[in-house]
Amino acid sequence: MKDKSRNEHHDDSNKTSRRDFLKKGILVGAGTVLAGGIVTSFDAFAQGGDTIKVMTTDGKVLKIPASQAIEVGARTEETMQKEGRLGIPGRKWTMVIDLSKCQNARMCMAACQSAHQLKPEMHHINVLQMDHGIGTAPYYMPKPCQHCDNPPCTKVCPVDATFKRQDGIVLVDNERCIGCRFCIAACPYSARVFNWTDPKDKEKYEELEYNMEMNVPQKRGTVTKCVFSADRLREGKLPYCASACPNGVYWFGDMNEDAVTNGTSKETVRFSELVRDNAGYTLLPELGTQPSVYYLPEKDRRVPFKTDLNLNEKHH
Amino acid sequence: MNIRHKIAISITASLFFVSQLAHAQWNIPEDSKTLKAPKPVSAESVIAGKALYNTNCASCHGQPGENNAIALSPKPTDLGSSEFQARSTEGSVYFQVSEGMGTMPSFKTSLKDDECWQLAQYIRSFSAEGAVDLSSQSKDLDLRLDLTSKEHKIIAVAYDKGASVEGVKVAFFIKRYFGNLPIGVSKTNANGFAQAQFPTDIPGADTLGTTEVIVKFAEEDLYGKKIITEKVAWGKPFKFINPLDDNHLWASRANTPTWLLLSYLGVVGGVWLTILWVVGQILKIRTYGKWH
Repeated sequence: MKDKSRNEHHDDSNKTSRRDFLKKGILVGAGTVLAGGIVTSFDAFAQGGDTIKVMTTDGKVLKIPASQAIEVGARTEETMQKEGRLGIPGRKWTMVIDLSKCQNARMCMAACQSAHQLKPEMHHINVLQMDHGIGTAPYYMPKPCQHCDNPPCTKVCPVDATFKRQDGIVLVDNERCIGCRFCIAACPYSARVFNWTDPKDKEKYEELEYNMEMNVPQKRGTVTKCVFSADRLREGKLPYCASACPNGVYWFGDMNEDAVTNGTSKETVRFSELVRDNAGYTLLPELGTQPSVYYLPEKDRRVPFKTDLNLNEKHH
Repeated sequence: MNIRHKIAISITASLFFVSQLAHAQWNIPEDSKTLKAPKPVSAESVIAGKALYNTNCASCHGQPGENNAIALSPKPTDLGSSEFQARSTEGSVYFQVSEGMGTMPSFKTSLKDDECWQLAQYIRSFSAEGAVDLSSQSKDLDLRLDLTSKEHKIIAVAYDKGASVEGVKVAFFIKRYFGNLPIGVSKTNANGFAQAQFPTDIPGADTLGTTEVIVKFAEEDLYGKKIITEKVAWGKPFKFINPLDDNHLWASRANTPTWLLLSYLGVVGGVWLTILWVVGQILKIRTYGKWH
């Protein structure tokens, strides 16, 4: 509540009223669409009652009697803030990344960046070129936030802006974030990025309600990171990156159900069996961060590694 | 030679080069082209191939004949197109699936040999010579579920107008959040029964172990889409332990560990007490000064 009053304080009155108008318009518009898109009674017109203009989700502008407009349960910023903090009860999300399948198509990155309003140089997920040492075979490694069960980042946040939910997801609330970047320094996986400049398409996103499950609209001077596509999980859909991958790299699921589903082939398998049979591991386990992201080793790769970098070169 | 000629020549040359890139790199040996699958094409192999296609190929190539491949460079071929079919044989497709080329991976490590052949037979079913008429063989069957709660066995019965049907593949699943977890496929016996054992260690949705079982025909193209779901209390009882109910160092303010809170308050309290004591001492000095 504190944040809300702070925001309203900063907004000038003109902007607030315009935002409120749009907010209502969108709510009522969504209402008409959900009601079948047809206004069945025009009695209010005949009686000369008040009418309002609403825009439907497919872009049509309609005039409907004000008395007929029903507000539907669209998620307001307040509910999104509340639910976003709590998470989805009973779940423990996990991701398994099969390194043997990754061939650097980078479609995960593109899908993620377009969903989360990120500039090309900003990554919630990044595909890295790796090797284990001199003489070993190089490989590609997609690296999202590890959503640790013992996250170092949330410990150092002085304002409770980054936090862990009951379903295991670590989120950032950019309404609270003061941009101190302690969390960026604390994260051993370099999973966080900072909005040094105005975000991509700032004007386009400005009027949207802030949804912390997407961290959109992004805000200059705040930290952003992978959110495990918390908004998609709520709808029972796989994350943006997992769904976009053409190579079957990503498995995603609920550890409590012991099942993960492949984003490409939509196959579902036992999480415990997949990780056990393929020698799954987590990154930097010695730090005790207990990541929720597991990796399967890059054995039996189906395509040769192509790069202009010589990763096996000896460094002096 | 004027500038127009030069441009025309360079465009023709680059077009030729591009077309070479798109096609000529597949180097399929002649004896592979004439190779035939160990088992002749059948409704069963085409349906199995279709399932394999949807899990392994569709993400790049899209659905055959619909020209909806994803935007990769070079663009994946539409495998239902007549151009592709005209230059293909069962053996050539088998070679392409198992060996791969460029961005297209080799599937011989991830698929079995007969699976590669099933894929080839499915892909070739879009040509005149490889086509299999599924509609003439398809039956509209019914499915019923019998659950034996003692042994946790799921028994499905396939029947056609009251009479049980033999030799129908039935697939059993457990519902999970993002998809259905397969637990077995079995063929109906002479009595029309197919059965699967419910796994002992699969977590249920609640403390009772409630789990949703889903049963379908494995070959839906032949027997129709029948989906039966049933809730059983056979799963491992699951109790959600909310990590936010406990105090952790990583948790937000409300869930601060007691030791941290106490030591912090102790330090702050100690500092304040010291300050108050010092102020008290100074006041004492002043009052002493007034008296003497």
